Amino acid sequence: MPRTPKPARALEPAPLNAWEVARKQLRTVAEILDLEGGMHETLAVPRLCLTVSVPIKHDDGRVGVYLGHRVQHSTARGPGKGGIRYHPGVTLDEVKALAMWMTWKCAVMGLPYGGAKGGITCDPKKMSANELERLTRRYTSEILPIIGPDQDIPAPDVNTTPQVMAWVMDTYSMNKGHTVRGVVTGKPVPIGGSLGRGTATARGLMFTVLYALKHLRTQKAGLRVAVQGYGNAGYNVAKLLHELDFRIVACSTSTGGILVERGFDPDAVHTHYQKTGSVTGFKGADRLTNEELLELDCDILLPCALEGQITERNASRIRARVIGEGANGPTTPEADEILFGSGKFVIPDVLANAGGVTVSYFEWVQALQEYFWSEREVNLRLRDLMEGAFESVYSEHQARKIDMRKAAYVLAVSRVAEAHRLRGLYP
Amino acid sequence: MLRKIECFLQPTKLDRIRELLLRKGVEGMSVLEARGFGIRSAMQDGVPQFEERIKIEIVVDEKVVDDVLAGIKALAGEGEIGPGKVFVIPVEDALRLSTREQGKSAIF
Repeated sequence: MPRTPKPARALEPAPLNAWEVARKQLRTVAEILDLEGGMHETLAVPRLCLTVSVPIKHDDGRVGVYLGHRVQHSTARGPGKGGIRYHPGVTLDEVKALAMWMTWKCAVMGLPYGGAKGGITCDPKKMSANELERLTRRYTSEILPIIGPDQDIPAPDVNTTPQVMAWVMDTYSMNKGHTVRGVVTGKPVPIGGSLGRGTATARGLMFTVLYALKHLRTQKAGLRVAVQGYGNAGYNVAKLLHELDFRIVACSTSTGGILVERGFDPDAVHTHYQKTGSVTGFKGADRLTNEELLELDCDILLPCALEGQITERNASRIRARVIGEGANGPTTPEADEILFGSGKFVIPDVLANAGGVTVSYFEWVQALQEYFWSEREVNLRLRDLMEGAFESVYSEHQARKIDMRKAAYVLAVSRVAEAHRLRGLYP
Repeated sequence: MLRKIECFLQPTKLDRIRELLLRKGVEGMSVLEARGFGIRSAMQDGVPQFEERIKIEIVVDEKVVDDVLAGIKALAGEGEIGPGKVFVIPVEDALRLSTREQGKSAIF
């Protein structure tokens, strides 16, 4: 297909207040479930918000003061669980929304966790490794009273790596006087990380795509897949689906995307990306923008980059039948309505990308047991939980004739509400 | 989790077991001819004699195991001598070669 190359455009999150969106979603579900008085209000307010000052000495001797947050939305089903992100756009509202979404995600998956999230408003790309370490250790010290293996267990998120998690674990352990592996997940394997954690999000996404196709009675061989974002989730899901004979025709990063009609080898594109910092310029590929990728004529679209990519502006032009949300919040509520109305099958983020938190849960379990599993065991257990969660959400979707996202939220909110009812109101 | 149910039964029960499994939503079964003896088998010259049996193998989700076992128990003739035995075995994984589906998807 001849294409006119267009200049690449960076991925930009849509301007929307995540906290407003999260509360709106909860309101909709509270109405569907007809939640009793007080329960909706209980779920609409985070259990705990901690905002801390994170001063650090930069390499040049200058002192920088950053704002950090840790929010526990709910601990009704177990300790808080959720990542820490380092990003200039971090706000308390965003962290509150992300914490609430973690509550729903853990509940959808049936994990014994509540939901939490943390973040520091900073630009980690402008910091050295030493500065990042000081930032992480000071932030960990400030939130130390509210985290712990039984309280709240952080994990990696935007711009935070296994190395950052290692610093969190070390700082917490030094303060406690002994090694505490279970305080954080997403750690490097040599200090108690789980095998299979690196590819868990992608593997979980792959499973949900396979289950969706099965329910849609669609043969998978040769189906055309477009992946937005070629980081950990995007690259690995392309690789896993390629191994199953899917045709990966397009992918993109913040600097633009590529289209190869006959399909490409995800590893070759990954190597090119590692070398050049961009997927564009890959041999034999046409160039396309992120907007064009979303609207591409393909069977499966996997947004694995940032939030707010599918909006009311482009939702009606999406041609893929199945959309699997590898990223958090890539679809706005308005776009959701349009996609559901036009018969698209959206696998919502709280289900589609829950492989990551599920293997985080396995990592925590292994840390508490002080006994570690093989990668095969991790992957089989992940498949089991993903399949169970998908089937539960799909049943709600069928029974209530609502889209998969609402179905997932209905399932999650009802589980969390049930935990609240059973525990009762203290005192 | 998947479970394999292996049943050693009298050949006369085969049709009824097939009907039962279909009713329970089991979508496939394997049947093998088998011979064997147990502690109550007939003896000849102090040696237990082989008896004709069929072996049925099915792989199901663990959620339906109890239901299937209850059905087999009801059909297979309690109190009689030599109605057979049933074993339930964990199955780590399954692969459907035509579609390369794995796990539960390869069964249902």
